Amino acid sequence: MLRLASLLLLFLLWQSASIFAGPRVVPEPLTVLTTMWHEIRSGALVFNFGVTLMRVAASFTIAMLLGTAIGLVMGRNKTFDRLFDPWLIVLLNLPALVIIVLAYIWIGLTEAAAIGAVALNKLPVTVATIREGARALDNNLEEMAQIFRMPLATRLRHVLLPQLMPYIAAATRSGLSLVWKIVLVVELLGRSNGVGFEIGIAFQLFDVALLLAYALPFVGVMLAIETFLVQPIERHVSRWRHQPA
Amino acid sequence: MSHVGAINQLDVSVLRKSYLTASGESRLVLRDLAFVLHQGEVCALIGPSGSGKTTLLRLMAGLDPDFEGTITHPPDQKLAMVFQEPRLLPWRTVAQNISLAAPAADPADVAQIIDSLGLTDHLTFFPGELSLGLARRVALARALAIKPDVLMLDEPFVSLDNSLAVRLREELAALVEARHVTSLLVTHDIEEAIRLVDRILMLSTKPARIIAEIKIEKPRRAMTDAYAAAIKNEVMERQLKPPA
Repeated sequence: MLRLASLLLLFLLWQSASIFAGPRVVPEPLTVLTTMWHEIRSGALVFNFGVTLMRVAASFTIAMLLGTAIGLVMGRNKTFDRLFDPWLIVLLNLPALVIIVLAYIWIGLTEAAAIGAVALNKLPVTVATIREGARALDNNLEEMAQIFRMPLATRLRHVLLPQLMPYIAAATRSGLSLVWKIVLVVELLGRSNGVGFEIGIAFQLFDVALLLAYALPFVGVMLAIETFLVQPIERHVSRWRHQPA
Repeated sequence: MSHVGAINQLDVSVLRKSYLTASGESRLVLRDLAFVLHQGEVCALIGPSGSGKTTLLRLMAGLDPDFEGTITHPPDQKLAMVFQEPRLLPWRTVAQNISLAAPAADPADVAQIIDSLGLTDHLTFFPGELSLGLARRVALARALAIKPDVLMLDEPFVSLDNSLAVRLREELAALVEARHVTSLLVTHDIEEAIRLVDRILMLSTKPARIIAEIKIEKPRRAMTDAYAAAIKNEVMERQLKPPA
C-alpha cells in the first residue's frame, strides 16, 4: 500500500514538473506512454530492448563467471592475491569510459568490444566481492569434506557455493545495476542499435519523451529481474538461515 | 608424512611436530611419540588440556602434513572423524548431511544408525534447529554411515551436560561394539576413557609423548565402579609421576 502511495506521489511530482518546466523539457506521463506505445507497435522498442538485454546478459555472465573464479583464487591463495591485488586496484579505479573507448580503439566498433568492455568494467567489482567471501570460508567445513573424501563436485555445490551465496548475491545485485548502465553508454558510443543507441538519437533530436520511453521500461525490466528472479533465488538458497535455533 | 601399506590400522611415529607462534617463535608440540592402533581396538589418548592431542589427531587424519615422522595405514583405509564441534553443513538437512558424506552407504544400514541414535524424527531438520547433543549425534551418524575402518573422536562429548554425555557415551559404546570399528578417542576426561576403551595412552605435557599405556582388562559392560575407580587412580598416579 505504501509502495503504491509512493509511486502515486512520484507520478504527481512528474506531472507538476511537466507543468512547471514545460512539456518539451519534461513531457507529461501520458505523452511518454503514447510514445512508448508507438515504439512498441513499430517493433523498434522490442527489437532494441532484446539487443540490449542480450548484451547485458552476455557481459554480466562473463564478468560473474570470470570474477567468481578469480576472486576465489585470490581469496584462497595469498601469493596470487599479492600478485594481482595492484591490478585489481587499477581496474577498480579506471573510469568506465576509458575502458570503453580503449576497447573500441583497440578491437574496433564490434559486438565483442562492446560486451568485453562492459564485462571488464564489472569484473573487478565481482572479484573484490567474491574475494571477501573466499577469505571468510570456513576451514572447518573444508577439513570435514576432506576427511569424508567428498568429490570435488560435491564440495563445490554443497560446501563452497552455499558459503559464497551471500557474496554472489551481492555481486549479482550490484552487477546488474552497474552492467545495464554501462551497456547503454557502450551502445551510445559505438553501436548502431540497442536502448543506448536510441537514447543517443533522442538526445540529438532533443526528444525527451522518446528518451524516457526507452529508459523507463528498461528500469522496469531490471527491477523485475531483481524482484522476481534474484530475490526469490536468494530467499530459496538462504532458507536455512530463517530456521529457529 | 603418510605411508600406505601397514598391517595395523594405524602405525604412528611422530619425531617432531612444531608450529610457529604469532610472534614467529617455533614451539615444539609433539616429540618422539609412537604407538600402534590395532585392528578392532578402541583406544583413548588422554592428556592435559593443550598437550597436543588434537594436533596429533589432525596429523593422523592427514589434515596436517607438516611434521617429521610417519603415519602408516593400510591402502584404501576409510577414516571418519567426529570433531569437537559437529561441523555439519548448516544449509543442508540432517539427512543430507549424512548422505553427502556417505553417498554409497547402504540405506538400510544408515537407517539403523539413525534409529540407534534417535534421529529418525529429525531427518528433515536443519542443523540450526538442533540442540548441541542432537548435532553431535548427527556428526556421529555421519561418521558411522561411511562404515569407517578407523573412527577418530576428538572430545566428542565436551560441553554437554553430564547426564547427556553419559547417555551419548553409552550409545557410542554400543555402536562401536556392534560394528567392530577400530576407534581412537581423544579426551581429557579419564572417566569417559575408562568407560569406552580397551587401552589408554597417556600423553605428557608439551612437547607431548606417550608416558604410559594402561590396558582395560574388564569388558566395558561388566565394568564395576570399583574397577573404574582403581583404573582412575592408576591414571592419576602415572600423571603425577615425572616421566622417565
